[in-house]
Amino acid sequence: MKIYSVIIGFLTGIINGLLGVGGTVLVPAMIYILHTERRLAHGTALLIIFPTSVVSTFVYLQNGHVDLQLAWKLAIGGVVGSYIGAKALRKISMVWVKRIFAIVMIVAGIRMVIG
Amino acid sequence: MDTILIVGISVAMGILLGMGVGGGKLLIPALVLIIGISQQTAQGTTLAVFLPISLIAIYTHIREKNISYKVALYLIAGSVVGAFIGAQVAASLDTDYLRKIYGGFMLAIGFYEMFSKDPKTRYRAHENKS
Repeated sequence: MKIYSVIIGFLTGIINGLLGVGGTVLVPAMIYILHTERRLAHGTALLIIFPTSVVSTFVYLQNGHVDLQLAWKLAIGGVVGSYIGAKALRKISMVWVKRIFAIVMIVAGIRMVIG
Repeated sequence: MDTILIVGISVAMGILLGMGVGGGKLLIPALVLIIGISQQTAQGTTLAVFLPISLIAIYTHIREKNISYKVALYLIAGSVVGAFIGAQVAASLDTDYLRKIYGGFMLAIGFYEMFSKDPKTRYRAHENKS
């Protein structure tokens, strides 16, 4: 299991560094391949992504690819928004949120590929 | 840069994040397509934005005892090495090329989310937190 963990971790790190996104594939990999309890998977994934993102951010910083002025505005808006989102969660259908999210991802994805 | 646009994008990203639907995955294309910064800067800035946010989330999970340190150890050993290599590769790529790779990744996630039958995974994580 240790070697599987290192390999899954490595692939997670490659995606994190190459694409700048968190642990998209990490949670399902932990649940289905490493048989981590569902209850522990999300929290543990976050703990793994943090040092991973620190390393990635450091390399991006070194290459002048972090706009700190922008980052700090985004962080404030993000905190306000996440509060609203967590409150709204009780009142809306998650299935629809997920579908709309999927459609936006696909449309934006096409624009990114073609653009 | 247009402050109103930035506020709108960041609040929208936060709302998604609060609902447990990855906000960062959409923040990067929003920054590239709407604000018009390079793919690399969008990725680097998004990574930086999520550092403080994820610290707060980790703190919550530690308090709720939702973390397995044993599982994390070997995964982190692999992921920090991967991150270093991945980030170096990203820096060396042409920005248009990296944007297209990211677009392909978004399409894969979009179709997966559209057809996966397990929305409960995410929803439960939120129930645990509250």
